[in-house]
Amino acid sequence: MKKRWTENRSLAFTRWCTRIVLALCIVFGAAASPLWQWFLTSLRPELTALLRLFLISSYLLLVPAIAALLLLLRLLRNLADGTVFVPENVVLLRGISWLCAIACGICAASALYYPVFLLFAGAFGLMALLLNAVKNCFGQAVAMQDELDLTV
Amino acid sequence: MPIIVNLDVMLARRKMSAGELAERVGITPANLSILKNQKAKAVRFSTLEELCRVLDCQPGDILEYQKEE
Repeated sequence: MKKRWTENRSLAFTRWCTRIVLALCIVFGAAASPLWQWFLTSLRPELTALLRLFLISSYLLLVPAIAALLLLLRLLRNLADGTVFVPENVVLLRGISWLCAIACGICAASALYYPVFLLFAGAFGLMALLLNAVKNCFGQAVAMQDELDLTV
Repeated sequence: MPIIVNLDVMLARRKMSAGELAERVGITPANLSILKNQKAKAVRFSTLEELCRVLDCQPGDILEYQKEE
């Protein structure tokens, strides 16, 4: 019976999702001002005075978000090429983890004017932690791969 | 590295080329080169067994321990 879901298909799906999210981030960046204006005036009129702060937080968050997605695309391309346990991937994972930590910091600072950002800060912090653990695993795997490559 | 691989000495004694040794032992010339150039981090017992069989020698003839100063 033919397998419907293979590793290659899963990888291709992940790459496409990443590209879509990257495109959405760019679109959001371009349309942030009208989107926030609509959201605040329609749903939370009492927060309209904070529009500028929401925009600053959004633009600041877009930088690590887009950078992380670009690094993720590079990582996924390496996986598709078959280069898995290589030092470059450890560097990419470290980079994505740090960018999540930066996003956590931005959200934590934004919570000063809108406490709901604390939830996002928690989520980004957890992601940074998980990615750091995955990076550690990759680092160990790179060392083991190196050992294996030089085993005759 | 404290473990020295003396394959060159054994190859000279048995008048055998590195390529011939690699073929008879069943490893690639690249892997044999890794071993000869002291770049190997580990040797499988199966590989060591084949090397000793082909070169008609003991493991101590191929591997030598030199204390690091």
